[in-house]
Amino acid sequence: MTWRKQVLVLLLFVLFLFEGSVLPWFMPEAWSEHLMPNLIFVCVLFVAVYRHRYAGMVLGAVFGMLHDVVYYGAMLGPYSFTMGFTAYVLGLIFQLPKAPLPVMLGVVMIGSFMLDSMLFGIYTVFDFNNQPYNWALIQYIIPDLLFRVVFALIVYVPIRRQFDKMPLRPKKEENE
Amino acid sequence: MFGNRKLFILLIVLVLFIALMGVTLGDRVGLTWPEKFVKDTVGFTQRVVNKPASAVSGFFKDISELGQVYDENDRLRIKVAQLERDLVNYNQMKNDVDGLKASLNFTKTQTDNSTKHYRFAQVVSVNEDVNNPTVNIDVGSKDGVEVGMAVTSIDGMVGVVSTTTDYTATVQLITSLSLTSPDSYAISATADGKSGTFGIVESYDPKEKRLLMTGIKNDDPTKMIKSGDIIVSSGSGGVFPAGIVLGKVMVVEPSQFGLTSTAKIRPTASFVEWKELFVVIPGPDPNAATGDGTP
Repeated sequence: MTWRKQVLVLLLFVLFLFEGSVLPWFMPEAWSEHLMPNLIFVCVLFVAVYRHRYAGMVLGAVFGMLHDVVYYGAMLGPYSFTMGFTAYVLGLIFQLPKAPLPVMLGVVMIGSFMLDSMLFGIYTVFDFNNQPYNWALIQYIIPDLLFRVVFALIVYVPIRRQFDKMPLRPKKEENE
Repeated sequence: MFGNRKLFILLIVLVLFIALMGVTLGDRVGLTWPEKFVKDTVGFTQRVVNKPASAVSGFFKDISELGQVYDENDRLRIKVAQLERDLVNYNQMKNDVDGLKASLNFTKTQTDNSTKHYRFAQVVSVNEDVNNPTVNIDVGSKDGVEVGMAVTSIDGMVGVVSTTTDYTATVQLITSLSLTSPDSYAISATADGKSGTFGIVESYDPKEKRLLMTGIKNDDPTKMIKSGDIIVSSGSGGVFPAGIVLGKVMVVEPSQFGLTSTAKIRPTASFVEWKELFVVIPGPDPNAATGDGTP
């Protein structure tokens, strides 16, 4: 038993710190209003596809809640719910331990689109934004999608390698 | 049977999350201790991570601006000389005003409303979310920061403190200002140098990137707001102290019914580049000897 899994979760937390405290200082100014670089989410999707949908769901919900609490401005819950839910649904449909690169990129695209659209929906329901959906689509949903796909391309090989070294658990636990 | 059970769990989770969102929406009295704990610990690690990052990014920016330093220095030297002269006048006038206020028996709230001091704060993390733009700063309630205080950059107002913990505070940016939003607030504003002008800034248009200042009376020609005016907070209403720069008027249009005008204001603060911010704390600075510590 190695500590690989724990280290990967810790790395995910480091990524959380990175995207909040380092990335904004190095991103071109023109991009910042078009991007919400939710890089954790891409990794969560990797977990949901290559490991198990429950693992993806729990990681998504936990890191989403962390995001909600740390950047608490309007309400708690949107990120936690959308990240957990999207990871679960996509894990349910696409869970293949040997999924090739194009499938994974497709999952990231669908996931990113779902996440941003659901967030848009939630914030619209609670009256936080009055912008039409097509404006949001051009303004940040599509740029986000492209950014996350590029990030997924970059991390694909290292993450696959780590996952291949971790044996899948033979028996899946069935709680929740 | 199995599918039904999962659907049932999903529905329960959905209801729970909607309840959570509903409960945490809008004005809350303080945070619960788990939230404070998470925010403080994460805030601390973010500060550690952020320090070298902001130093390095600043370094490259400094190098690219090295050529302009000489000109800038000349310009600033002239400006400093001007300010020194103005400071003498200012102190004299301040003394006069303070004396007059004392003899008129101003209450503490009234004096706090017209004085303010700035608490320096370093940005530790940025939430690049279009729907819910927030930044975290490294001062908290131990430093005297409270929920609802205005936060400015060097250029102008950027937002309002939405939550505080002991060592961090979250700033909700002014770009999320909206009439319909459950935690909306309004800033009573006036044009700089034109006493008697009045309007309320209470929404931001993200498409045009303009703040909207509504309710400007347009019946008195001496109290008109024109394009090019600098809009500052007026301090009436008691929420924000007077004299916080909001932006510059771009267009003035008659409102829907023609009784008032609406001004579209370009915010002076840029919402892209974050390093240091100032929390505006009402009342005189307890640490400073003189002045109101204007940055």
